[in-house]
Amino acid sequence: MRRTLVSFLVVVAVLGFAVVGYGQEEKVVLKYMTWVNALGAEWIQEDFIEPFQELYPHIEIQHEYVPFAEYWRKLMTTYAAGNPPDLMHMSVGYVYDYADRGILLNLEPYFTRDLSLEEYYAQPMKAVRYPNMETGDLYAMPYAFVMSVLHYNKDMFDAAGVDYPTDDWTWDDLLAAAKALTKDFDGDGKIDQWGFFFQPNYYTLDAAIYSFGGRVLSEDLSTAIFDSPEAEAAVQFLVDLMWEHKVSPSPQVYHGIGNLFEIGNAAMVIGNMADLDVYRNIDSFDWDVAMVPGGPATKVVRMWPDSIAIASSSKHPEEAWEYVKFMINSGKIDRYSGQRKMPIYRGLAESDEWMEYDKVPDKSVYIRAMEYGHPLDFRPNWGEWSAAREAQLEPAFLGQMPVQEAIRNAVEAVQEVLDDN
Amino acid sequence: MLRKRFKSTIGIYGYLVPTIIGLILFNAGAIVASFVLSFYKYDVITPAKWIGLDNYRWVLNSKLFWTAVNNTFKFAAGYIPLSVFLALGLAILVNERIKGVGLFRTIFYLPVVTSMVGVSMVFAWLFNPYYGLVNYVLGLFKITGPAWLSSPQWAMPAVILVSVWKTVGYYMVIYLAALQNISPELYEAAQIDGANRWAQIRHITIPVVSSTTFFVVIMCTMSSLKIFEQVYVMTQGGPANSTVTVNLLIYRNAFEYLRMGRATSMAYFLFAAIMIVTCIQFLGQRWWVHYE
Repeated sequence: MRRTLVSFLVVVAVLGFAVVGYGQEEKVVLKYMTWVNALGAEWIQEDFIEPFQELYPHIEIQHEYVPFAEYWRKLMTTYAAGNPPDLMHMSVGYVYDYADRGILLNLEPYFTRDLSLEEYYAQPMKAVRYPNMETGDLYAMPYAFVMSVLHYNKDMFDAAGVDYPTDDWTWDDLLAAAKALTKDFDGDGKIDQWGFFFQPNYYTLDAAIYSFGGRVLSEDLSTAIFDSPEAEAAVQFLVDLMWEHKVSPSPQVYHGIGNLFEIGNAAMVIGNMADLDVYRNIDSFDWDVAMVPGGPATKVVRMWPDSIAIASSSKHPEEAWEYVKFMINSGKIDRYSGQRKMPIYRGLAESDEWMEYDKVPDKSVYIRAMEYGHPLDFRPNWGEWSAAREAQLEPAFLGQMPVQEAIRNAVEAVQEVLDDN
Repeated sequence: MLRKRFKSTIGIYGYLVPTIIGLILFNAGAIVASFVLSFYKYDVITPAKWIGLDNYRWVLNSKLFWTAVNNTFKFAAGYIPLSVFLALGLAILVNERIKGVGLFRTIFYLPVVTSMVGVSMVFAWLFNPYYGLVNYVLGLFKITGPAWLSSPQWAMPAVILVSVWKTVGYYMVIYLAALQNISPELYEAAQIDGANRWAQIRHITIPVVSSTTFFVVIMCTMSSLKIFEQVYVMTQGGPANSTVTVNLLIYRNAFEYLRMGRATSMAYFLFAAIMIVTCIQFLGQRWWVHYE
């Protein structure tokens, strides 16, 4: 017994010296938190962390990953415990609120010192600028982004003799095509093939409101203004797709089923480009990707990034920034986000390697969509007000309340959140 | 003798220590801390700021909170009676000495050990008004089923049905244990007096298991006032806030909206509600609960 105790103490002492020894070599340890699963963690480890550590042997990255649903809880806890990570993945829905609380490092000086904006896609980067989307500083660095796109089932278009969507499609063109594509094959009064499937979520709804000439929030982000005639026309148009023209399934039809396009029951769908991961496995029909349609006022493609941020409390901001730079431009397509999201670094996104990466869709449409791109209002308290808005607009999409009334309730609910700080 | 007794008391407390330490650290500590935090504006990531009773005032004035309270009580009003009746009914059935009774017990208990997430996803499919099996079967009887989870009127009944299906097996087992403790002489005596099966259940079974019923009602009340998982997975509080419950609101405020202080004040409202309801139940038991 005593002998084991002694040997135990010896081991502890040796380990202790070893640790002190490391300290003398000025080894920098960076704590790094992400929201991935085990496979994603493996990709991050092999495609980012390991090659980075080879380049910078004095930096050690301690990666901790949690599922997205638990990520924010966990991140908050590390702050409460006074032990936040140096590097953390950051979502568009939170970057404003976190920057507002002063816990993120302003990356603007680092960015202007080391990189040049022309080499990156500026539009999605607006999402992480604070306080203003156009003129503010970067408080996180996007590494990849997604955009809303129109996916369509080529087989259904061919069978109905409808021309494929084009870049200059408007919502009216989409409606006309959807009418021709909506079918009740067996004549039982139940629609078997829907022309257009969409869910009235933040990227479909908000982009539609802007494309009809409306806005969701006022420019200073203090007022909910989607009760303008333009915004109302946009919501009315979307509701009419379900209830007036009956070319789109209502929530009653798709609840619990999920994506009707994926299972071959709808000819078109507005989704985000990360759906590529799922659609890539479809072999029962041919599909392709097009730009979302424009409205009477303009065309808006909502695009929003996944980013990485540095804690303002980090003791090693320079080393952390090195990792950020490595991540956004590691020189090759990483497996973590590179396959299904667009790299923020233009050199990589526009390279033949990325464009050819998977053969199915014509990816040049993403590049052409950039000129219409904007992140729109993911701020402030976005999670709370967008949930409040969705709940109040839902009766309109369920066909149980006039659009005007639902919008009035929604504006009131959103305003309540905006006023509440 | 006394010393021996003292020693064994020490031993007993010794065994209790780990649990008590755990309770103090992880439960009592959190309970006290959250009470203190309910007077602060606190987002967890930055230091808390004292705001007195503002959180409580906000909660009382919040339409959404009262919607959640209303929904929570609606759930309880459906879930508690259904659970008690079905659990007792099933227990009486599987208490019979028939072939394959073990199999039936297992089948009724199975949902209890199934993951709520899986259950919720499957039921979301089943309840789909357009493609779902539930309305298809209703259609065979010429009944047009409601839109269930996508209808503000029917979403809560659907959540209640799923919750009852999921947990009734647990209460069935509790009732089964109580039923097997009933002395067969009672039934024999009743039979001799000419009581039929229904009269036996009414005058023997129900009164004798009333203490179990009391326990089941208390458990059901607590779990239904704390309902969270089902609505979090199945409806996310929708459609149109018709299934937002108090606990869901607490969770969202605490972990999604950066409003921990407000969430803790809601938690105290919930705590008070559970406390009051449970006290009433304890006071009321002398009118209907019989202990042997």
